[in-house]
Amino acid sequence: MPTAVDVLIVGAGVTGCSIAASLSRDELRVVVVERRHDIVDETSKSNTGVMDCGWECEPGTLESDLIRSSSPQWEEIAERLDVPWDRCGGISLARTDAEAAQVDEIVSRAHANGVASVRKVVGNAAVREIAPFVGEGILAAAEVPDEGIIDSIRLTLGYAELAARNGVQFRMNSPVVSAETRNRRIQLVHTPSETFAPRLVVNAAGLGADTVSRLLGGEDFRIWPRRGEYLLVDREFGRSINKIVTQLPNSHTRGVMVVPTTHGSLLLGPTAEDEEDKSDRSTHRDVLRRVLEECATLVPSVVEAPVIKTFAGLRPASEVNYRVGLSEGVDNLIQACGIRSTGVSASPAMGEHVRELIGDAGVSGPPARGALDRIPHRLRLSEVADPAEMAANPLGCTVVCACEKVTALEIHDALTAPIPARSVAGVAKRTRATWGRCQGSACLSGVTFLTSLHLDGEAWEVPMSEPGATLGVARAGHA
Amino acid sequence: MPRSAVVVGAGMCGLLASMELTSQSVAVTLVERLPAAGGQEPEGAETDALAERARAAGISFRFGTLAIEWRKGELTVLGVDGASELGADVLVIATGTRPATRAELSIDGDRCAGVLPGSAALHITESGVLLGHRPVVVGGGSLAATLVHAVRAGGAGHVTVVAPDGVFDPRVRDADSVIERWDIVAATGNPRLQAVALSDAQGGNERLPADALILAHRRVPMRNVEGAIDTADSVIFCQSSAEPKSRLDAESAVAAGLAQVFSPDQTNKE
Repeated sequence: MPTAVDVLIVGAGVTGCSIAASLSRDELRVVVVERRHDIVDETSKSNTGVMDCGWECEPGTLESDLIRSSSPQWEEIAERLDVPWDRCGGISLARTDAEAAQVDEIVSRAHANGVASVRKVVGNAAVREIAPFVGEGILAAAEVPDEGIIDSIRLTLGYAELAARNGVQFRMNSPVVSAETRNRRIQLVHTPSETFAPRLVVNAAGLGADTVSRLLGGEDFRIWPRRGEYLLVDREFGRSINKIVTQLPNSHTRGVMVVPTTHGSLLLGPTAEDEEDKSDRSTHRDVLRRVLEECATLVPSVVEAPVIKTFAGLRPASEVNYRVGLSEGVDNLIQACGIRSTGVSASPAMGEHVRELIGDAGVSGPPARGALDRIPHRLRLSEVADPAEMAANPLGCTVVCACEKVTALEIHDALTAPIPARSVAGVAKRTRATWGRCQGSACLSGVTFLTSLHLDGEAWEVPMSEPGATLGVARAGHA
Repeated sequence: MPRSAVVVGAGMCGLLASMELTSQSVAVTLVERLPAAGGQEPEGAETDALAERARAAGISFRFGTLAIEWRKGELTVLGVDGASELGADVLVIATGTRPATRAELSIDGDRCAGVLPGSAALHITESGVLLGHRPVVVGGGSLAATLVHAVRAGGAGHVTVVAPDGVFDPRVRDADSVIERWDIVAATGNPRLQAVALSDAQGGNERLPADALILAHRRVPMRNVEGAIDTADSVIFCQSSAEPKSRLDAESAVAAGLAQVFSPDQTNKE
């Protein structure tokens, strides 16, 4: 028997989860299917974490509208969904006379986008007064006080947990493998383990959205991975940089930037290489060296910065940016894809926007009685005002990851949450354990042990991430 | 002269520093993350004897307790006895060392499973997990040597050691093959490791099939007390990156660190 649902959302990244959270306020049966083993596992995991205010968007586009209507909501959303964030402000630097000549235009564009707080700063001394860490060669800048940073993983987890607490179901390891579409309507959607009979499907499949659209009988388009490589710098250095530092934006990219994180570290990157392979997250020393050199033209001291990790993220690039709306070929399919680089910044308004589109397509429900609008704030040693708050629970007194200050209580919470971690990477995403400056040297054995307590199988089978990524290869024998 | 000190870490350096401070009439509290003295990687019977002498000398131990943050003469700790503040004139960081990370070794390529820090790999192996049938251990020192023997005992079929700086613990040569003066530059495989790429100073490139890459190269000071990561007021670092670390290495690291406390100008440089 197929599972009857009102709305089937394909993809559990920030877009799919924000839509799920919005829909969860209504009396609707909603299921989210995710092809990977965990939610927030691709683009929404590996990105800059910039909370854009829409100042440099193309005015009049959906992207600009959604970002601008999201921007004032962050204070409230971060509180409701227990997400670290900081409206730290950004500064966009002119390094040459030619760039300095563009600042006026960029400021005008920001004002046209309704971001009135963006202002021009002229002269090296004036720029260094607000950003003492920039180089002596910087001639002018656009200051963007409303821009900020957010923990995009915690944001996505927050949307998903709110949705789950309101009854939305999540199915992991569930790629769409085929569908039956007749008379412009999707009838059935198959995953390897289940068949759904949805009234409506939302394609929020990110990098896989082109494949999903084709399988569902929707329009043909192409999504390709735009790879960005990053370096993550220790927070001991990172705390000295308190603003997002960028080049002047152009229509193609915002370029390589220097971005504080909500955990005090500093991100350098990303590059923007259009690729073919949607699973290739490898890094390359020549590319990383270029990132470092480019960042040094903004903040010279980064060449000395201690790098604790390097990684690559893939953004879903497409012919059309923000393909969001009713499918041209299928009457019960809403596309919410091609969101290349601002999915996090647009997500609060995206959820509501797609909820309205779904209503327009004839699927809506009365407000769900007792629906929650917030999730409980969890105790986290790195976030409590006083460590004594942790001490009420014995697990809260045991620090497992000393670099990121993660207790056994937080790891236990991650493994027993409404959408529980099912791998060491899943624990890391929810707690940051193993993600600090020693990269698990001291805590990886403890984290894998705690993870194994909540999963079936032997110790060697503990998944580090996706199925097949086991900790070891066998039980240690008696050679 | 300080009158009180908190020493973080009850390995060889922490114990030696505590004894030295006590002998200079400084009141010492010794905070240790683990439930016992001895350090993260066992440093032998010598530390047991040291711990015994430290106890006899009246040093107060706080086991199962993690130092969290140092601020203006006060250390916040959290442990089996809950959270508390320990006041002290100086903080001594003796939290040992760890192997260099993947980023510190500039190992590119895929972020696959099967690439592990050597310190964690040792614990995981000892708890009954075979990390790979064909593991590659990076490093030529005592941790690499211990790992070679541990993974072999666990049933690994062919153990290769890649020693970028050469072999300086002879037990490393018990591996099935030893490649000296080459670097690991990339790991490839998805979702699990399948091969590592090596290069040498002459521009040579090689590819080696592998299902585990265990990082045991170089020793980097472990630093995780907020406010005492880098040079900071009233913070003394007693950490030795020597490998293998002898009693003499520990003593000289402690002497160098404490010289700052007892020197007339009280400068504090690492």
